[in-house]
Amino acid sequence: MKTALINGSPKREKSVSALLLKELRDDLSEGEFLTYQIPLTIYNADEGISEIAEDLLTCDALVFAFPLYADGLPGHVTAYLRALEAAFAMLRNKQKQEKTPRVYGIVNCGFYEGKQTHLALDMMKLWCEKAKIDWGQGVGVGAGGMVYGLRNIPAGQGPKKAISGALRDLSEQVGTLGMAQDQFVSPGIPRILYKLAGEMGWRNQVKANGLTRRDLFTKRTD
Amino acid sequence: MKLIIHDLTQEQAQKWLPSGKEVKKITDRGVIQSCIGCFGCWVKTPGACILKDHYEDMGEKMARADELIIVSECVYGGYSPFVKTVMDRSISYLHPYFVIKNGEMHHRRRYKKDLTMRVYFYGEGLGEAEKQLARSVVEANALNYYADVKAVEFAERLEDLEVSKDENGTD
Repeated sequence: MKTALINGSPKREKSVSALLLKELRDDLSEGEFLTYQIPLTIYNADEGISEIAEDLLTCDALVFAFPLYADGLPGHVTAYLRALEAAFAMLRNKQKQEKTPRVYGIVNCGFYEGKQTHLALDMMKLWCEKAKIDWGQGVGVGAGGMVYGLRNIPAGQGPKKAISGALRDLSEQVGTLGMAQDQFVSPGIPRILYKLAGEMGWRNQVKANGLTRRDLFTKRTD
Repeated sequence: MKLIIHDLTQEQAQKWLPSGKEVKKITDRGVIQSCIGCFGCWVKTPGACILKDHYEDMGEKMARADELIIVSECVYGGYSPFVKTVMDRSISYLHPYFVIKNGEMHHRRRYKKDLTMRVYFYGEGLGEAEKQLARSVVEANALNYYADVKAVEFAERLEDLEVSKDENGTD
């Protein structure tokens, strides 16, 4: 079993996507893993992509993780997927396609409801159709803003229970190359608390930058 | 003012898009940087992106516009990489605080205004499922950006798109 873990987060530190991929990898435990970081640019997305594509087509499963940006795939993820689609087609023409991997997606969003990632997961499904590879399952994680803060809580414990459960289910699909309905989850805290904690977080951050809470309301048209 | 975010070349834009004093076009100059997810546009320079590459003032530009027009290749039921990156860089239009709308969490407004949106997608062989996804994406954007969707149109070729030069008599 060979699995590629492909991270589309723009962040090298404090990346929620990286944390979610790590937990999935721990659940899978066995097998060979390839890891990739999607470049943070929309230009020259085809640079070096054919080698990557060739390696990906030796995998049984591809797991993508990225943040939701404005209701969909981030621009740089779109560019990368399009370059991969073209590279896959070229390799198929040259009969260099070893396997047809199954694709899984983990999308996190700052809104409380994991369901708000569903359009990005549907875009991944459309990509699979066009790239002629198979779709497996998606997991949409809400309240992404607090996932990093929970990193030291053991998987499956307390507020992490629902997210860990969904990742465990996903790992079972990945491990058996299965296909299942998308799952949408949020951390185990009430929405109102997430909202209040988030707003307190913004006030603390703006003050840490030497501004006041009033500055959060700046209008550039004044 | 009309704000047009598009992925056409300069020449194509001149030929196919409205122009004039009341039109501001956001064109791919080959230099746009991708959103780094830092939220600096909310907590460091509120209302503007911290990346300085000619695309940092999208929030302000949207605030000054009445109508947002998007002309984009349809890619996996969404926008092309350039158009999407402009959208990704536009969240300074919103306020970081949350509100509950339609039973779901969204961002609070930064500006007291409503936009109208017209979206024109082009691309060969777009299936019904892809078009439906693209319509849903535009509706979701409109909900988040406090906008009213006036049109979502599709054409096989760019030449077939009729981007409204019309109605308000501008251009």
